[in-house]
Amino acid sequence: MNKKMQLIAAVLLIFALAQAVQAQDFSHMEAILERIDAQSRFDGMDFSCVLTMIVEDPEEGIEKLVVRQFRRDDGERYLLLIQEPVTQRGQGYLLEGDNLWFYDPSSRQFAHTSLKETFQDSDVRNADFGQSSYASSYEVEGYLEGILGNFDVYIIELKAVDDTVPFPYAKIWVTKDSNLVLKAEEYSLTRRLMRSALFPKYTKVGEAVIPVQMVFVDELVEGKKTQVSLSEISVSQIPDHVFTKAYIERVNR
Amino acid sequence: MRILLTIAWRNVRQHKVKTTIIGLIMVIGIMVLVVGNSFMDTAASGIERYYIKNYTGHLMITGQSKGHLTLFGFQDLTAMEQTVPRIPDYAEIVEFASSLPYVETINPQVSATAIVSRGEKTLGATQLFGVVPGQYQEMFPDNVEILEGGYWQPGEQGILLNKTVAELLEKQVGFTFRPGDKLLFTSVSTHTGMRIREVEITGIFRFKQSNIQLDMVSLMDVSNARALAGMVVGHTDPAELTSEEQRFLGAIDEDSIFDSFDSLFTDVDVEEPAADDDFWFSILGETETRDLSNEEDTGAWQYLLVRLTDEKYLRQAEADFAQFFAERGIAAQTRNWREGAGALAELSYGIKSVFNTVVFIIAVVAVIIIMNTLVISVTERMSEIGTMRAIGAQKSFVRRMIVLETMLLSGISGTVGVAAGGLILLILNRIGLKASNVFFEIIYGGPELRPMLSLSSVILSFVVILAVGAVSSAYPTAIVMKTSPLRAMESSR
Repeated sequence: MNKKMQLIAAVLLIFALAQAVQAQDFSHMEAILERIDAQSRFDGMDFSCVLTMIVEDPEEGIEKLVVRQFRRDDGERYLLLIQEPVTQRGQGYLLEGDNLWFYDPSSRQFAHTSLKETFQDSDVRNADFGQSSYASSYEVEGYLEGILGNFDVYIIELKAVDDTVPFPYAKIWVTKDSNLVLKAEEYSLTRRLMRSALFPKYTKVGEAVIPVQMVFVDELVEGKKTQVSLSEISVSQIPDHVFTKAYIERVNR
Repeated sequence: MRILLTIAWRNVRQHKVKTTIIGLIMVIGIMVLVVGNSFMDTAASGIERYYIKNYTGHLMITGQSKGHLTLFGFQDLTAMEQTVPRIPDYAEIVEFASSLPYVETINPQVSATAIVSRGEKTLGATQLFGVVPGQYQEMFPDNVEILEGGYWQPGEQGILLNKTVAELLEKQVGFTFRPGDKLLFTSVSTHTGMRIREVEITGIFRFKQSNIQLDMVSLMDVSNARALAGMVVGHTDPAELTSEEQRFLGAIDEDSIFDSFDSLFTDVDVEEPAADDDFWFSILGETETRDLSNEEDTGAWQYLLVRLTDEKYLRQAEADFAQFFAERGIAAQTRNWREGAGALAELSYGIKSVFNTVVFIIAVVAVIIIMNTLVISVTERMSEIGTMRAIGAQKSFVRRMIVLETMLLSGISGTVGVAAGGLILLILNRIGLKASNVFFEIIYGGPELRPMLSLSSVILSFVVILAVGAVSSAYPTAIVMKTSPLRAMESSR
């Protein structure tokens, strides 16, 4: 009887250990995701800058876009106004919560578009201009420790929790000490690599830490990528009327 | 020769079982060949007539470009990467085309793909052909059936919405679109970025002869189609980049990018922009240059479709246009209707190639079976052949006898096979084969196929059957030739 009890206890112990191994604790990684989102958010202040995009395309050559961005994280708003090239000057994207509108000054019309769509003909998605939402949009599937260049990083594997993000799976390389995303890979439902992103330069603006240089690589078309640089950064208050359709129409008159 | 023919005929009649087996195999083989090839020939000519008559014309003139350019735009891996080029020196090309006696009519077109929306709702997508109604109707007079409304009036704008597209869009809104309703069309081009046009539906139509690709095409006034295709007068100068902006061009070495914390972090000047109205309302700078460069390139076209008085002039037309482009230094090219028709036409021809391969495999199997049966038959008659050799028949005589016997059998079977195939085709022609799904519609080149006996399939069948006969008799003849008359006679004991 005593031996039988010992055997049952051993089986239960093995079972409990197996369960523990299976349900890995990702709370540390989830905390990192929350930190990434928090440190790139502009709470209680507005943000504006000029984005210079260099779109490198093996077929079409090199195209330069200059875009002015106004962003207000309270209420999830942004306005993007294209300034260059001249044929696209005045085209705008207005985000109001879940609604993203595109404005074409040549027809003075607005059309509904999606955060998941690409911005113009670049490799940047409309969602990339908004605030970071790793913690709310993804769950952690696993992680590794590794090295990228001279940085010790966590390589965190993510799975989207809904279909609001452009890609259902992602992998991010996050510095261990400062929790900055250095690299991201985004995958399709079939786990095919669709896009890679590099974040080689960061800066501190107020309390926020944001990338000021980004490179988005199209993994489906060899040689196609888009480089984004931020300049003329400001955290001054932006008038409310800037985040309206009427404003876009007026500046285009 | 007469003796040989008599002996061969006697052998064919005497070995009834063998003759029936081999004959039947040959008859079935030839029948399959005749029916199959006639079927595919009819389908191919149907596809050709169908496309040329209904939406491609014989020839398509475009600007020079790499890649698989069709009337629907590029249909290969470069589709997302390059825009359909405009035809350079369009007026000169039109003048030349009109001067050619074998050119019946021409029709210019523009192609674009657009997302269709209404209010906040995205409803679907449609392929757009930007056309001039008069010219389009003259080129393709029989294929557009107006179900409601009509084309837009000259000088006005509008869209003739394809019924299939309309039904797909209606599912999203829950009501039926009528002439007078307006829709928003959004497209992206590399040159002008995103473009939106609100266009009024002037009519609903269907293509009488259609396919899954054509079902998605609506006809739009060329002005709006040009805007959606990014065909404006302005052009973008090559981008001038600073050394910092050139940093990530070409290959990227991740390790060198992330080499130190100092290089990862940078200080930037946080600016305090002017807060007055002047700043906020003049943020774009002047917009006059933009408006000028966004004016429609009114003379620009992407395609010039050419219909000839007869298809026999196709090669001549291609050569004449090529010479004209070379002499004038015009960067344009001709593409035949098959290229213009797009992936579906290519698919039909691909299926035909697969069928021909299957027929070839059947022919090889038939040769092996016939050869095997002949070997048995010849082995059975070894003593008879040995006796013939012993009483003075030369090797060549015996060889000719066996070959003639096989050819006789092949000839008769071939004729019966062709006749049987012809009969089946006649019946199928009377009944007509309806395409039960999209796959058969692609193969048939339309909703129905009435196959006809084609001369090429008859000729091909006879060539194949005679080749089968010749090849099949070679091996048994070789066996007989290797056996001495004495041994051959002994084999009967």
